[in-house]
Amino acid sequence: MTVPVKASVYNNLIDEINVRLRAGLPVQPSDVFWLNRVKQDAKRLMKINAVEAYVVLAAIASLEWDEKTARSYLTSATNLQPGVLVKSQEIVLLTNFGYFLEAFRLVNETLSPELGMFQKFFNVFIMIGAFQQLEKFQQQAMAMGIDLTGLPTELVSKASHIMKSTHISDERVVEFLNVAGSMLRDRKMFTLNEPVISVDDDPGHLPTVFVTFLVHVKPEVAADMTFELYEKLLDKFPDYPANLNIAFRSGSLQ
Amino acid sequence: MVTVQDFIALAEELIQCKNSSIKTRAATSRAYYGAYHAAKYFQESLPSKGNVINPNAGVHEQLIQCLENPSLPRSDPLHNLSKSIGYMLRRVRKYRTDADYEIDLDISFDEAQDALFQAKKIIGKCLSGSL
Repeated sequence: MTVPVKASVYNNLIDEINVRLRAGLPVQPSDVFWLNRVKQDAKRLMKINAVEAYVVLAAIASLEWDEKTARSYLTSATNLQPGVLVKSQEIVLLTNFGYFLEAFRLVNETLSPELGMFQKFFNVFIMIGAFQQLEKFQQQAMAMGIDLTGLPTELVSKASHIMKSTHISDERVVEFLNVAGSMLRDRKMFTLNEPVISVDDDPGHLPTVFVTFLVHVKPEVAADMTFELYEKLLDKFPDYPANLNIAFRSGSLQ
Repeated sequence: MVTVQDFIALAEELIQCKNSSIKTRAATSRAYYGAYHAAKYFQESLPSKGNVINPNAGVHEQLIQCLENPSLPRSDPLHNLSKSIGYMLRRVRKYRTDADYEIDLDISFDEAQDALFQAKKIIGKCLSGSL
């Protein structure tokens, strides 16, 4: 009987923190009472399940934009119980901080359908931009009878097809997204939810995958950031392909 | 005669009606055309024309491809400027085709606003590059 209770405390805390993360900004001074309360809850959880408590503390540290502390809590959790739960949270933490390449290197060993976390972390794959790996996993999941209803599987297949046909590997996509990630880190910004993905597969157009990061800024600032992103991408990758169109967009919370 | 600024002014007027889907769509479309004409002038002002990847593509796609594949040397600052304008125009064109052709698709105010500000950014950059 204790297991569902423990899971519920952990899930509630993680859900609560995720709502804040989706707001796109680290915690503000006005959040101090809320912050103190979730820290107290995490301390209480420590007595029941230290691994989950460390994961929650890592998520709180992320919100406070304290990457070093967040990573150290995850190390503590891993030392106690290395496994999919902690690894998957590490992937979330890395993507929140815009380290898409580092996160990408962990997804294969952590999020494959047979490990049970695939559906829950489907959006993390989208965040990382690993469309081809995601398509392989979704096919595997379908073959296993896992219900993927409501997930944008068709869109993922289209994006994967475009990247494959234009010879842009997942790793390459993630390297490009990493440039956007470093810009977000420079500004201490989280994205609002996962990026919006769309494709242009009109026969008369260059096949293109559009990746749009929603950020908590004014629209003119988002347009400036997009232009800056292209400057940085072209500096780092002179042959940056037009088939992958990454941008920032001002987003409002839905 | 109209100018690119006239397209943007109309887009700004239309987008004021946040709750009107048809006006939001029209604003997206006008913003794109403002950016398109500015990018066209910019491309024509370059010392050499960019390369078209697909000669059978329509004129809008050809312009975007020319911008994305400049024939200028990489050492020329206009090289990367042309590419960046091309990438941005491709994005705004996507907004525009969705707004004009995908009538069942939900076009959000945020998207229309993004199209407008990206278009304004393109125009600003085209003017700075053409000086």
